[in-house]
Amino acid sequence: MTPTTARNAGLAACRVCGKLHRLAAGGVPRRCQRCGSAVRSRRRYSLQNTWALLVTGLLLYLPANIFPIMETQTFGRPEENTIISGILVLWEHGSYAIAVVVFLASMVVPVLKFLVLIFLLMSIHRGSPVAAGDKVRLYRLTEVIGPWSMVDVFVVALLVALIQLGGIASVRPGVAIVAFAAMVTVTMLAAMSFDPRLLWDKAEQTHD
Amino acid sequence: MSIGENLERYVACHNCDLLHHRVDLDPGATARCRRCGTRLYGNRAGRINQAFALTLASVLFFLLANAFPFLGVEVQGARQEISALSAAVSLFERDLTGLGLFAMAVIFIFPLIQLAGMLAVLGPLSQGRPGPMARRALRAVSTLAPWNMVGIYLLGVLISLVKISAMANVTLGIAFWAFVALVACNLWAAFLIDRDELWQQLETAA
Repeated sequence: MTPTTARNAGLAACRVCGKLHRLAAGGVPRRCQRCGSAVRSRRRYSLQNTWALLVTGLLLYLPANIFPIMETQTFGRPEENTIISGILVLWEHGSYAIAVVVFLASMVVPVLKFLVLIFLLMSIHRGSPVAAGDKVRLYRLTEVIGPWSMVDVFVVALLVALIQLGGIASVRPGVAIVAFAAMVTVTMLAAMSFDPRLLWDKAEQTHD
Repeated sequence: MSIGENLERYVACHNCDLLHHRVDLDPGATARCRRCGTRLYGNRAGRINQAFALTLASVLFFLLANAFPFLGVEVQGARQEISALSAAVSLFERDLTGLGLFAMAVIFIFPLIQLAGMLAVLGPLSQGRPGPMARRALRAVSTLAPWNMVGIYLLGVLISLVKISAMANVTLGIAFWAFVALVACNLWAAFLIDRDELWQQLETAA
């Protein structure tokens, strides 16, 4: 039995305010009568956009980790750190909690985002035994934790602003900071362009 | 299931697209999707006034957070004091203009627009009528929501503080506490408000 989704009933919900509209024939997007946003049954080119943004994010993640993200000068002695070496330095200096937080935000979260989005995309292309409901929950979790990776960018920017103490100590941002911020932004956009309803559409298809 | 003329009586799950009849809920109750359990809408009516008061408080804290000193650092007599936006400004000064603009946007500009938007929505609604710009305002608030990073910035501040306090004296200015209060008020207001309910109220109060 085909479940009655909005799409099956010829309706589409505005993704901003939720108001239901009857879909015009030909699939031309309507304007939401309540809030003015474009109304589509599913996000346009969801899979293509998500793939493209995901690949861009992956490509940005490489320079983000290879190049230094921060350059410190303490009493004239210069020191460069990448994201990874920065975490190791924190750990060696006994700041275990911060090292873990930065590790989670800058390494674990981005990698998890990539893996989850790839898994979700592949599960639409090829199908997967995992239940659609679980995949949607995974998607929403990814959507929520994604922006938190930006915390490292703020930390570097703050240290650059704070530690300008002449010859005693100074901090400069490294090239990687732009690549990393761009990576986080692009993967956020990738998650936003993915339409989780496609997961349920796929589940309905494979059961018929 | 044959759909009647009045589409207002139906709700589609935003995660799985399943259609549901809209039902009246007891205060505090939550309606969930039959298939995937996603929260569809709730009944938090009556919290509009509280949320409006919180939003006003947030505006005050926002102004304080930007008008006063934020953090101060002192090492061996050398002293540096920064404002909440200094992190973004320092990026501009290093020719990282794009990144500086991004930081300004997510820490200052977007949160400001969201506050103004929520005032435009909640203010008139707390008096039982929809404001003239309310729909556009609520739409802007919804679109900007994922790009409001004040909470993430605060975490960045806390991490930076811990990193520095090992080697320097750190002072927390008025703006710092105002910023903490701003983030707290934002969180609290988010708990009180149900965006679906706001949209319903904007439509029925018209």
